[in-house]
Amino acid sequence: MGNQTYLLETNGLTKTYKGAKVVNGLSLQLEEGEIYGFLGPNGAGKTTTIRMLLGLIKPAKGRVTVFGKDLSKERITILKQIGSLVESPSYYPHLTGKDNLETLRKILQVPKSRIAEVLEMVRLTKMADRKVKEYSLGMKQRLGLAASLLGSPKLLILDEPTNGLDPAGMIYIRELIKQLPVKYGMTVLLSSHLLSEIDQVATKVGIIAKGEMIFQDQIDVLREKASRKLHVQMNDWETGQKVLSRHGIETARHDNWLTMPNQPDGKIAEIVKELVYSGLDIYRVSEEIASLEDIFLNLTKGEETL
Amino acid sequence: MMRALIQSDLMKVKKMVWVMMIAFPAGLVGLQAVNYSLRLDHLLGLHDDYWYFLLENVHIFWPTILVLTLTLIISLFASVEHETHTWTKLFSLPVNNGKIYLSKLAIILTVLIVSSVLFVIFSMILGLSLGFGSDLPLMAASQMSLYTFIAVLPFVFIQFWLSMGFTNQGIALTTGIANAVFIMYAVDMPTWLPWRWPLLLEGITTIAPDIFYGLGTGVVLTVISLIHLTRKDVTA
Repeated sequence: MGNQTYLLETNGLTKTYKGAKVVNGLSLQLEEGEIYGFLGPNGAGKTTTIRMLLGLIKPAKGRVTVFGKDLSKERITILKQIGSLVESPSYYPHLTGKDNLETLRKILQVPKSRIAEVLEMVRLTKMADRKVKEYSLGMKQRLGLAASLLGSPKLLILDEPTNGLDPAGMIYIRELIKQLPVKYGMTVLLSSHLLSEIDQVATKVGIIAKGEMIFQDQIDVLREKASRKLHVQMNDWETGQKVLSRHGIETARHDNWLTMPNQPDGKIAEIVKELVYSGLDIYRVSEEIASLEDIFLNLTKGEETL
Repeated sequence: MMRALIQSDLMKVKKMVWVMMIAFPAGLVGLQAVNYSLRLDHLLGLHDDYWYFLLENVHIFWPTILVLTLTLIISLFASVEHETHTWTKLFSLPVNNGKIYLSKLAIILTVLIVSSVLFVIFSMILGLSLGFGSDLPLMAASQMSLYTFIAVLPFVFIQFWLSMGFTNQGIALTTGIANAVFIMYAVDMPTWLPWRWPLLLEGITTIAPDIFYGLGTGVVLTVISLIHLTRKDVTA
């Protein structure tokens, strides 16, 4: 363990199913007030990891420390301050939305007024007295979110919370999640298989592939990884390539486009000048920025997602 | 915490549970009502003690009905949680895993006890309406009902284990219904087989070893099933 105390920390977390390592030596650190985006393709081990964080399944190896306490020893104390929504939202279809929350409220022992509060937070007040079997998938998902907020948790663990929501619902939930650390001092761990989802809310990202953490840092660091490329279109690429290699710039060709790593502004000006002096006609100079989605695909390359 | 859990579980109970709790004993006593009304003179001629003979008659199918009731009720309790995978939510709550099951078990046992009490009441009503007199055999009826309840305890825990442990209720229902049917043919079985115990073959008011076998096996099975259920991974 490092000097820094994390709100949630795992060390070498491993889970084996029938000899196959579903999660392998996963180390994850979550600081207070963060929104942690836990990203990975389907079947990468996200849900298994989350189940281990909640003590629902026991890791084969490794340990989970939450609020500075060992999960395997003080599970109930820890769970008092965790709200969670794992996979599909769980609910009792034959009960109303309000009664669904009431079954949990009795166990969590929070004041009754909290039900109206969380229903308001996810905009379900109007539907509160309807049976959940009449709810749309998006409403069920929002009810699940309301249930996770019921105990005013310090740490909120959400497994794919925007699944099944329409665009308006997605934006609303995203905004709601963004406000949680600011307004209520919550820390959020959010899993998704869509980078675009996480990109818009998370402050820190962890990317998991084949059960291993392959990237974990601030989201800005991930953005910097976005490799930029410079494309130059000209009439005679062969001469162009020679000129540029004399300046130590390796290029790749596609039609009459030459592609090279991005260069500082001064260098670009120099390249263009050289090419023009060599008698070449420059048609276009353009820059390509790889999207975060590309980086994600690159990082998880070779991963089979069907 | 146990109280909160039981209150929470009571909210989720499906109406069908209450219906079965009342309908099964009522139906069984109703069957004897038909039997008696069709051949009253013949039946009264078989035994001097009309009341005791009535209790013996209503008890014939009671073990089968009780095992059927408990099978279906336990399955309903479990499917409420299996249906939309609420186990995950339940076990993420700050409660001891064992208490989650104990709360359900407490309600199930209470429902079965209420059903057994109703069975006694319905039998008394039948006897009264047949004109057996107001000298009610409450003691004998209660003994019959209580001994049967204790003797079916092993089945309660087998069903509890199967229903709670497997999402697919087919396994639990098949086992439960097979057990219920098997009991009807258990008269000639060796005494150590649990299907024989609820038949109270030593007499419906006699404290026979069978009852203690039922109690002992029930307790052992509870402990084993609770240990297994609380330790297994929650994956659904």
